[in-house]
Amino acid sequence: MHNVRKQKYSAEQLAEKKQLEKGKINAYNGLSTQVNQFRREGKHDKEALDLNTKLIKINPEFYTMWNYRREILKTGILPNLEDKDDFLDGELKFVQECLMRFPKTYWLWNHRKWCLETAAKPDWKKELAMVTYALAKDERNFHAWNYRRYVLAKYEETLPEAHRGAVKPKEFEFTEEKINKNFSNFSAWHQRSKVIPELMEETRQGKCTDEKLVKRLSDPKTFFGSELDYVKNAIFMDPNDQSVWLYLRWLLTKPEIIYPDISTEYHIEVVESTIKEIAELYEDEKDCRHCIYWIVFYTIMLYELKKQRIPEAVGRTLTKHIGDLKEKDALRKGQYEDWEKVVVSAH
Amino acid sequence: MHAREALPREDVIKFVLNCQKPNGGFGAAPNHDAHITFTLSAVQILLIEDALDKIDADQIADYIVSLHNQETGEVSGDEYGEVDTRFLYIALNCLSILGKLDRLNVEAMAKWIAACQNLDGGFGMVPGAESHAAQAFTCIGALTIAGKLDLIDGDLACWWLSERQLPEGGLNGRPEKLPDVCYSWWVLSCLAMMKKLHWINRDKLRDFILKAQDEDDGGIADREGDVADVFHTNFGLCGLSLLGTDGLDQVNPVYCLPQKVMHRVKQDPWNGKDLSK
Repeated sequence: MHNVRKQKYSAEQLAEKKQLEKGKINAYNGLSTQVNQFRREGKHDKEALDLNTKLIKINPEFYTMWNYRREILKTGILPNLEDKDDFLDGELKFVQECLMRFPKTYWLWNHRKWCLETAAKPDWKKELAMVTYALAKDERNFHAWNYRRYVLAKYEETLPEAHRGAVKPKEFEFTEEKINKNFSNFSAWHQRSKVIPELMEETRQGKCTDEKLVKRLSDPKTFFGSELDYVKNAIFMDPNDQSVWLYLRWLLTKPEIIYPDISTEYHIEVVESTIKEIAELYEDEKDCRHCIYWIVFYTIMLYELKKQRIPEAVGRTLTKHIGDLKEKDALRKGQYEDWEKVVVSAH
Repeated sequence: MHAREALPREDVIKFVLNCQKPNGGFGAAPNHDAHITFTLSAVQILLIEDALDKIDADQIADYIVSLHNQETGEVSGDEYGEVDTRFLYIALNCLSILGKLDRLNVEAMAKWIAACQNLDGGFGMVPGAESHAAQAFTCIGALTIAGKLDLIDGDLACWWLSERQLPEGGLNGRPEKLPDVCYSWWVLSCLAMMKKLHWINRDKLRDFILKAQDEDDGGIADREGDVADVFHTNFGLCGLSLLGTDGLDQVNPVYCLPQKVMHRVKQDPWNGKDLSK
């Protein structure tokens, strides 16, 4: 079981535990037999809903019960209510309680979507606050991050046209807030890499309404530079963290996403200075395999950009670096051996 | 593990058939609703038991096609519409077993999957979602069945996958997370499909899996010292099989089925050949 430590029990403790479990299993089986019976009978009233609630609280993975719950709500409960949204709000609270205990259960996140899509006037802003809260509790929960992207799209869709342009800038700030709190939070870097291209597009179309950001984004060269500085700062603080290297790689291999008119000369210049900076960092961080890896990676990239063969002397340095990598990062030795063949054949 | 007879064949088949619903799909158990996940499980079990003749392949294909958006390629898990790379992989897997891939818009499916590849080389649950190793399996598996691996950056994907190995030998599912035996399947199967098994240290991974075995009850846990379960036991064993372990049958990295039953798959992309060779 995920993250459940095994414990040693005496024979007596084991018997007691088994007895306790048996009681729980019997109660659960009794309950599920009853609920299944109700479903076969087509029972869609309050009694059926209450029993369904009881069962789901014990086992939210019993996906059929979520289907049954929606049947009950659609046919037996919601049609008789004047204020459906008020009831569905209660339903959201119920799901939230379950999520506190089971934050990684797919069916729970799905049911939230159903509630909101069934409501006449879903409160997407409140939902955004709820998912922000979930991410404060666990900043890497990918269910919550995925759900966040869904909520953001819905929220934006329902806003008056004039206000839509404020959503993405806020999300951009949100990623920065998360990263500044912990730059090992790769989920936030990832989100940033998804929001930026959307923001760029909105700025080009004149939809983005955040003036400060529009000013920043309208000068792609400076913005590109500031993103590079931002991630490089994080790298200098902890070069052993993977998240930041990945973001840097995205910026340097796909600069045109932020800076569409980037010239090859400027691209080469940036890659060259990056290699220099990493080499300096490596002087102080001799044990950091990431430094050597990325020196090799960007050097190969540099000569591809220059459309030149790797000079002999550079090739020899790279081969030496790859040798170091094989030693420092023996787990991935096979990968570096493949790389060595590429470098050797390139010069 | 050469122990198929440990479960009584007739009872297994009877149970599986009892899980089928009027719409053609299967539920997790007789009282459960149909879902694409359990529909594939049913087909896989019947394939292992050589009992595919007990079901109507067209009816199952109809169910799966009813969950498939022919325009976008997307596949949902059930009628409630949750869309995810897992379900798309399942649709391709299931219909290739049944020899009915022509019922799907494979071209659109492959494009949708390729859009799930991220800046780091990994894959998310939907386009835009963060990379996760289990999704690498569903995406690379789906593209393998579709014959469209050329749509993605394979070397970058394998780089990301090999970075999942930690000093203790085990693999994790995302950067800065703990190692877990189940990734011995999700990650290793992808490296096998891309012929890059040598990009990680296989001996260290083998040790990590073996240490996670519970010496009292025999099962395998997510990591050493935790409670064992069927899920991790299965993926631990499959990982050991891909690593080449005496006494275990070869497992097929795309289908997670014993290689020796692969000839029953009607549209296997490798025509029953052992991929790891």
